[in-house]
Amino acid sequence: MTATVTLSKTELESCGTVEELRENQQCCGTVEELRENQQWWWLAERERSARLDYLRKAIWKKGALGGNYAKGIRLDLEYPTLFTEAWKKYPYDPIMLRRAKSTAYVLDNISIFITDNAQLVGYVSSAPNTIAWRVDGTSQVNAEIYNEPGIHAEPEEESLKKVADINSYWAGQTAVDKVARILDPEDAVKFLSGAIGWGAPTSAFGYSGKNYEYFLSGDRAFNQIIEEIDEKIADAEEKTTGTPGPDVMPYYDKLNNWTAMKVVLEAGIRFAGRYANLARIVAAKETDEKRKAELLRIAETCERVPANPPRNLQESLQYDHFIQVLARYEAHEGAWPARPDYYHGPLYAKDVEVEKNITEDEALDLIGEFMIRAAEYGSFAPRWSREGLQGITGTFVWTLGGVKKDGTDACNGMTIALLKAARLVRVANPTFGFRWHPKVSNEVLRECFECIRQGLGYPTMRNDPVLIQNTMHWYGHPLEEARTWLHMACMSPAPTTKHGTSPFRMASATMNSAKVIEYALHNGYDRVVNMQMGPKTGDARDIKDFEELFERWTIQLKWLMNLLVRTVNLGRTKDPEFFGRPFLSAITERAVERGIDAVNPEGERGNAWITAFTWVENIDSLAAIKKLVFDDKKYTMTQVVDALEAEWNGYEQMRLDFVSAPKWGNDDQYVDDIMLRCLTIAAEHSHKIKCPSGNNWPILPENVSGNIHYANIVGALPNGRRRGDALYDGGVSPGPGLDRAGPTAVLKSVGKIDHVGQGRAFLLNQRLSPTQLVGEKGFQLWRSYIRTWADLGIDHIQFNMVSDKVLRSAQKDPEGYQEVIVRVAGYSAHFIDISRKTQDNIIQRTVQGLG
Amino acid sequence: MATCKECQNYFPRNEEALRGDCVRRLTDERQSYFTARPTTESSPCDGCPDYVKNSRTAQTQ
Repeated sequence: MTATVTLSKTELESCGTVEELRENQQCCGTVEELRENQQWWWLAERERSARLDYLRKAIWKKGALGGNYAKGIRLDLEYPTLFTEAWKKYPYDPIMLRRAKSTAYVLDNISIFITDNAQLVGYVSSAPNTIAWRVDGTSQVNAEIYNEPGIHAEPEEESLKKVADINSYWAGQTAVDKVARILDPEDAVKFLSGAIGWGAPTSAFGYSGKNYEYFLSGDRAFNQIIEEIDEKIADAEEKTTGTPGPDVMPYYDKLNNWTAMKVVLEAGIRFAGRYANLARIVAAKETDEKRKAELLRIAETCERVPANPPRNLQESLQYDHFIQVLARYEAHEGAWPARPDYYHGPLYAKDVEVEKNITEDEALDLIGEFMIRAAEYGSFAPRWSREGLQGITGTFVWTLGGVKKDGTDACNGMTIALLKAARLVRVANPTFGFRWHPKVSNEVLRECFECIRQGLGYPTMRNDPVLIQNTMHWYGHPLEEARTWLHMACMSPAPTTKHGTSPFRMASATMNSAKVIEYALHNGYDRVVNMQMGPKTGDARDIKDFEELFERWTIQLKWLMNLLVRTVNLGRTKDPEFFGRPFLSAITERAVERGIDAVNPEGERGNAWITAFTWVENIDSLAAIKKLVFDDKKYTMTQVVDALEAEWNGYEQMRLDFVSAPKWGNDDQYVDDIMLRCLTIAAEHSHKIKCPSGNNWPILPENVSGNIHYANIVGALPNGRRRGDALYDGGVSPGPGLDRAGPTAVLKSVGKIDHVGQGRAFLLNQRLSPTQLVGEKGFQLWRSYIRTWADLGIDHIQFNMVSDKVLRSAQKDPEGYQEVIVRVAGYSAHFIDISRKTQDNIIQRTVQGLG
Repeated sequence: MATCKECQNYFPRNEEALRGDCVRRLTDERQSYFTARPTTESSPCDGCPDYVKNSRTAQTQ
């Protein structure tokens, strides 16, 4: 336990000398001094309200610290016990109905809690320090849970016995067990090797887009959806008891699906009612009149939503939060697609700007807590996921800004409030992605800049006009639909409409792209896992020219894309049979209308993509070979293969030559042409492979912290990297320290990519100097830089603006720098929560000076 | 044998006969909170560490 946790707000406000403050590892100096010294994390503690300060410090860190769970985190056993108990009761129900009834049983019986000072309620398991365990996803994860040290409640032996019993029941009948049985065995073994991709082909672990246009547009909530379902059921019952015919047959399944949706919606209303009940019980005991009134307001709020549409900001946020919690009672959702300023903006305006029912500060308290409630989320993740997403529990990128369906600016008071609240609560998850467009006001842009300048690493900036075009190009979304887009996970835009919402995306279409060049150079053989993985493209020592090498690279790339997409397409197609998402279906208009599982692609336009981790290694490797072997003829292919097989050991001078070869990100046409050629090949193939909706599979280069996870899994590469060295930080970002020609050169290289036609999106990390970007001048410099970025048609950029000095101090004194946040790749994390290797990788990134 | 109904932490639900919640105030290393765990009024309390004999007839609004 650290001082920052134990000091109260009152103590904070009265804290005296610098020495006393340092002794408590607490904020030093006055607010002005903290601002002057850019000690934003300590400034936030001073500036946020006592309520937000308490709530921010009250949440338990559920993200793994460098891969391990923090001390005190416990596995929730109430959900798995209740769910399994209920599941056994309904063996003859179809899977949607069985899941709905079992989930309803959990919602009726799991322990709930209300944190002191809270105004919003709802969590995914039984106590604040617990992480959820969704038992029917995959047996592999279940087995890992049993063996995970430190998370089992005392008496540990008793807890482990319960886990073992639950695992025994679910062994062989989880969603992934079922998919694995019908996968091509060779594909399954290669996928499960852990070398080429990650994820699980089931919606039990997917990213679920939400059809916000259906349930959060103001006039519809659970009761209204239930009414729609009742009409559907009445109509279907009439058909199934009427004139027989083939057209009637689908209604038997639809009836089950509608019933399942209704069961879980009604359970959701009851779940909220339980919070209302608890709030009233606590209010009856409460002696503080102010808190009593707050508790009664919580009760009224939970009696109103999710049953009926929200009428004020608190109800709106609470309604949204209940939706998110209920969806996560159904599955482990790895992302949190949201557009909170757009959907909560109208009630923010009503409460704060028009009717003035609450003050701006009171609204900030609610909005800050809304972020904290999301940051509180925790669900057990397997080790590969924890290493790849160090410090966080999923990629919760909330979308701000952008345009409305008619193309006008969508920014509003809530946009600004969210950006302000983020600086007060300083959570690393959720983060924001801001949809920049030419009509964004200076006021809003300045708020974005303040967040970045204060070291949050977010919002990432997204080029709205480019991404709207991109969304239309790849999937044929109509313009108005494309304009509703939000981040499906870290990067990929997905609309929120009836046909545009992507209900399910599995992370298992994630390729460890560096393997493509590795396999091209080793005849498709993986020397790390000792398996023949890719096609046998021949001994690379025999390659005579660059074209031959490129041809082999192309074959390996297509093979890898095909394998991952085959797996995901099958997983998705079979998911309604193997898993079932009744709640997600109940909040998806297309599913309610048709009586289908939302995961069923019927009526969905399709919005699939292949995440391409470790992409740029291919480009720099191909460029190095082209230059040093085929152009300069300094080395032979035999020497290259020999050096790589030796992991560069004994070839140090040669390795340094390869490190010095042309590198991506320096506006060097030699290597930039190779990037464009590789992306063109990938894009052409993306149009050939199709998702179950019949739509395309573009690639999306980005990394999260896969560059560290895969460090020991990717062998030595011709860019001079040794096995074990961190890979590049991802997307189309230049390798750390390899972008030597300045920030404009980086933008020019990245700007050569066609950000509409060559892929789904392209992650670009940049580090900027916090000392250079102070004050008004700093903002103007950054704004000009963003304008250049936008003019070049680049779709994404994100910034780290924390100095090496602070980061190195945080490495030495982690307790004193608990709220220092960095942008890792597609997400942010608290610096002290990521591994030393990842920390060093971030420090190595070039700090670009602007101007 | 003592039952939940006789415990101070038991709060019956108006809408469900015989059902109620065990409501307690807890404090962990980071926060204090109120928690509710569903139970029935006839659930046995032998060995329950949270059992406190009731001196009132628990009623919610």
